[in-house]
Parts: sequence; C-alpha cells; structure tokens
Amino acid sequence: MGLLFLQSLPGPKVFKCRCCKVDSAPHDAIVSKNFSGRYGPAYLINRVVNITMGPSEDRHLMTGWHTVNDIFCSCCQQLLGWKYEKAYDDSQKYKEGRFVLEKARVMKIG
Amino acid sequence: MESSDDIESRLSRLGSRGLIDTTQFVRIIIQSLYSLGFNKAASSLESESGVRLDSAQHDRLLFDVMSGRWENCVSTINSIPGIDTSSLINASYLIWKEHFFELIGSGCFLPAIEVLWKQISPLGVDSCRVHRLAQYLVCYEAMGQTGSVGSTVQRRISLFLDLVEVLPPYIRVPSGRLEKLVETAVLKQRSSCQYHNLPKEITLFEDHKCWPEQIPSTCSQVLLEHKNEVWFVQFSHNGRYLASSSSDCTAIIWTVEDDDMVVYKHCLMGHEKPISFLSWSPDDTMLITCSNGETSKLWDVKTSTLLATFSDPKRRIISSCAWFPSSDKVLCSSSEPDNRIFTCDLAGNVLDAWEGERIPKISDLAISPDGRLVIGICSEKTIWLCEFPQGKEKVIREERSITSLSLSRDGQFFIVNLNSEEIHLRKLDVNIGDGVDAVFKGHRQGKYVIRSCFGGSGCSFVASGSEDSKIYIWRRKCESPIKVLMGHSMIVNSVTWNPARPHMLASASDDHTVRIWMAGCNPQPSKKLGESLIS
Repeated sequence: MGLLFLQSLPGPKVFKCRCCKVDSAPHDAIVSKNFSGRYGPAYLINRVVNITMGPSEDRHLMTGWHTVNDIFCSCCQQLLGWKYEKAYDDSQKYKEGRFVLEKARVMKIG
Repeated sequence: MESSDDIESRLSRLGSRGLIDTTQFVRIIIQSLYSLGFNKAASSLESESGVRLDSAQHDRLLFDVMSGRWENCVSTINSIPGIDTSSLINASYLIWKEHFFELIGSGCFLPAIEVLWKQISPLGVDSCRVHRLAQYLVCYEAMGQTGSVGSTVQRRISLFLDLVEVLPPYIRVPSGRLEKLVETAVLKQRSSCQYHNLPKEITLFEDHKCWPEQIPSTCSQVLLEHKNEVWFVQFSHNGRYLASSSSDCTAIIWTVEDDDMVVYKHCLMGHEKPISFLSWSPDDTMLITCSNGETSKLWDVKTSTLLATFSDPKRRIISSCAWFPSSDKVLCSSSEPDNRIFTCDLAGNVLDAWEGERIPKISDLAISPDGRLVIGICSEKTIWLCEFPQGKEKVIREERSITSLSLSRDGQFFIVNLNSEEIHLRKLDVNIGDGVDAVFKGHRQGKYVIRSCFGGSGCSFVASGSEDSKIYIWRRKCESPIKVLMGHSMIVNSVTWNPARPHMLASASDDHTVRIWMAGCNPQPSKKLGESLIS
C-alpha cells in the first residue's frame, strides 16, 4: 500500500471519516445540507480530500439521470458518497463537479 | 600577417565549412610547438610554411621596448592596422608610464614632469591614475608598493607582456590558444552527452559518446529481508552503507562491499509502528528513524545499538527531521496536536523550539550541507526557505500538493514531487524568483508518497519511484525520462543513488523488496561492449 499521502485541512471545522479519522472535507465548502444519499441525509460539498474515485456509472437518482463516480476514503476504503460528473437535466447542472458526502459516514469536528 | 608563395599554393581555408584560415591555423600550431619545447620543429615549420609566428610589428615593438625607444614604440603601435582607439590609448599610457617611472628611478624629475604633462595627460585616461602618478613625484617610497621594482630589463619585459594583452590578438598569438580551443570542443561534447555518468577518460581520437548502459540499468540484487512493504531507502553519505525502513516496524542497515554487492548487516528493531523516514548523520555514524505516529529513535551505525529515543511529553508525532552539518544537533518538525519546529541534541533534550499559531505544519524538512539554509514543505503546497537561525525567508507556492523533498549533494538545488505527476527542480537560494528551473514528467503519482533523488556523477540525473512499479530516470536538462527501469511488481516508494558509486542505484517497493540496480558496463568501457550493443 505504500505510505499514503494524506492532506490535512487547516480550518477550525472539518469533516473526518468516521472509520479512520482522516480529514475528508472542510466545513465551509458545504453548498447544501438538504441532500439525501443512500444511507440517509447528506451534504453537497465543493471540495473533498483524501479520497479515491470509483468508475463512472450512469445512475437514476431522485432528480433524474446522472453520471456519477463513487468516492471512497483513501485510507480505509469506506464508501463516503459520490461525485457528480454529468447531469442530463438543465436544472441539475449546478451539481456537476461537486460531491455528495453521506452524513452517516463522516463526523464533524470543531 | 604575411603569406608567402608556399602557402598560397596550398588551400587558404581549412575545415569542412571553410571557416578556418590556414595562416592562423599554422601560427597556433607553431605557438603550441614552442610552448611544448620543440624549438627546432617549430622553427623548421616556420621556414617550411613561410608563416612566421610573430608579426613584424611584434618584433619591432619588442626591440623598441627593450631598448627604451619610447617614441618608436608609440609610432609602431599607431601603425598597427585595425587597432581601436581605446586600445591605442591604453597602450600609449602603459608605454609612457614606464618611461615616467624610469625617469624618476634615475632621478630626472624635470623630464618626468614633462612626460606627465605632454604625453600622459592628453591621452584622456582616468584622471585618478594620472594623479597617482603625480604623487609618485613627491613620494618616492610609494613607488615600491606598486610592484614596479626590479631591474630595468625585468620591468621592460613585463611592460611588453602587458602591451600585447592590450593590443589586438593577431600581433601575438595568446599563449595556450590551441589547448584552449581543443578543451572547449571536448567540454561541449561532454555536456551534450546524454548518458554521461561515469568519469571516463577523454580521448581526442573520437567524439565523446556514452552508451545508455552507463546509468544503472540492470537489477543486480534483490534484497528480501523485509517482511512487509519497504517505504524508504537511503545510501549513507560516503556510499558504504544502505539503510531501508519498512512497515514491518524495522529498519535494516546493509553494507556495500568493495565488489558492489550489498550485504545484510543488522536489523534495527524497537519501533512499534511502521517507519516512514530515516536520516543519516552527515558523518555517517548515526541514524535517526521516524515512525508514523510514534517517537523517533537514534541508533549508532557501527554497533547497531539504540542510543536515544526522542519522545515528547505531549505525545506529538515527529514527522521529519534533518541533521545539522556538525552531526550533533537535529532539527525536527512535529504536529498533532499543535505544530512545532525544534532543535534538539543527541540525548533528546530540546534546545530551541518554535511553536504557536504562526508555525505551519511541516511535512518534510532538510538542511543544506553548509548548514545555512533550512527548507521545509508546509501545508502541502508551500515551500519555505529560511536562513538559519535568523535571516531572510522565502515562501514559494506550488499549484498542487507536494509529497516529498530532496536536496542535491552540493546543496545548490532541490526537487519536489507533486501530486500532479510532476517533479519540479529549483535552485536552493533565498533570493531566487518563483520560477521553476526544470520540470520532469512521465512517472505516475497520485495517492502515495513517492520519493525521488539526485544522482550520478555531478548530480546530473534525477531518479524517481512511481505508482506503476517502474523507476524513471531523467537527465537534468530534459523533461522526458531517458530510462525506465522495470522489475518491481508493486509501487516503488523511494529511490536512492549511491553518492560514491555513480553506477549504483537502490529502490524500495511495496513488494517487500529492495532492488539494487547497476550500470551495464564497468567504469572502463571497452570497444567490445560497443560492438556487442550493435549486434
């Protein structure tokens, strides 16, 4: 596995992976708190760190067809959410390039 | 320059492009023959080719200077075709200055003053020099300090040598001219040679060319002693030892034998967590191992015993450390819960510490070999250079995250590995600008800490590990790799080039092995190797 390169986030409030406690996302990158993921409520976030991406998939979500990549914590390989790569509905275009982070899989620090 | 009938019947231009004038060529050959001591050969060449080493003005000038006919000297100089005004003025100044000194030396002050008024002042040289000459009229002893002592003959000879420096070069061929031209050509060939690694005898009989086998290319040994992923390797500064550290919580010291075989020496056990970093002391007697999330330990190399443990009452993690050149102090950076940079001595006592809000989290630290500059990677995207202990600071921002840092052996340059699969080379100086000196691409890096190093003779190569289990080697001037070494089966975490043996490279990989790579040929390449490569 090699020595993983882990980025650390400076801000006072960060989200960390619930399993292995590495930093995942800064709190001030939240765009919306009203999302729902596979395991319950979720956040829409601009920036995540220390993740690896899975392959692209076309999925039918509540809001329509999207092309998404699952994101996993690079340290413990936990599924943390997904990344919107492409949205096929014009009203959903704002999601492209952003990430959904499941509340159940992260914990808020600070 | 005269050319006689003999030379006109030969070619007047030499070389494939007709750039070389035959007369000049023969003159420098004659000059080097004289300087080698072959006087008979040189004079017979002069008579056979009809080209004389020294031009007519040269002989006339020599005669006039040695006999003290100063007006004749000046008129000879004026008669040189193509001389420019400033050289004319300088040469006249030198002649009249010598005349002036000789007059003073023989006590004729009134003629000396006349020379100063009538000949030197109108020349228009720097007036300070003229004033200083006037001072010598008053203060006779000051003349001794200018170095213009010695007999008249010696002074006139040195005047003549000064004159020929000022006059155009065709009056007298500059000494050592042929040797200088040959040396320039050889140096140019050597610097454009792509694989030049091993110090090879320069031969004049053929163009200098190195084969790709001269940089490490074949795996000569696979070291299997580690039981888990090997994260870091480094040769000692004298190249006689190799240290490797692994996630099996041990570090192993190997000896490099005289026949270039690497032999297991001792295993350093005692850490409870994987060891991510180790550092040789500048005198190669001690080794510090830093582990992930635990204390650092200091070991003695010869006896392989534990000398000290650097632990912290607040249980901070020491992320990296660097030795001072005197081998008695260590600079460490730690983090979690708060960031701290501190120096400590070999017993673990903290000597100086910097902590507080302003101190960033430093992930990699290094000290230049002369101990003056500290360089650190802060917050993953910033390079911080600082003159130690108090001095100028310089902060360079990188676009992407930096995973590791490496200094060249002469302390002039450093390289950083970036997450964007690039390696940036920069000059190690607090006063530089932000621009990158060179960029190397081609390897793969994304998730893990991959380390690279300088290497080869003169540190002219850069080598790096990669996530695709290959080792990439670049020449410092060129962005694409000149060599890719394959052999490991998992990602190559770290590479190190032996500082004393430029034909040896070591690499550490997740497949639990350390591999030693050697150059394909011995330091004395023979013709046979060249033929076997072609066939």
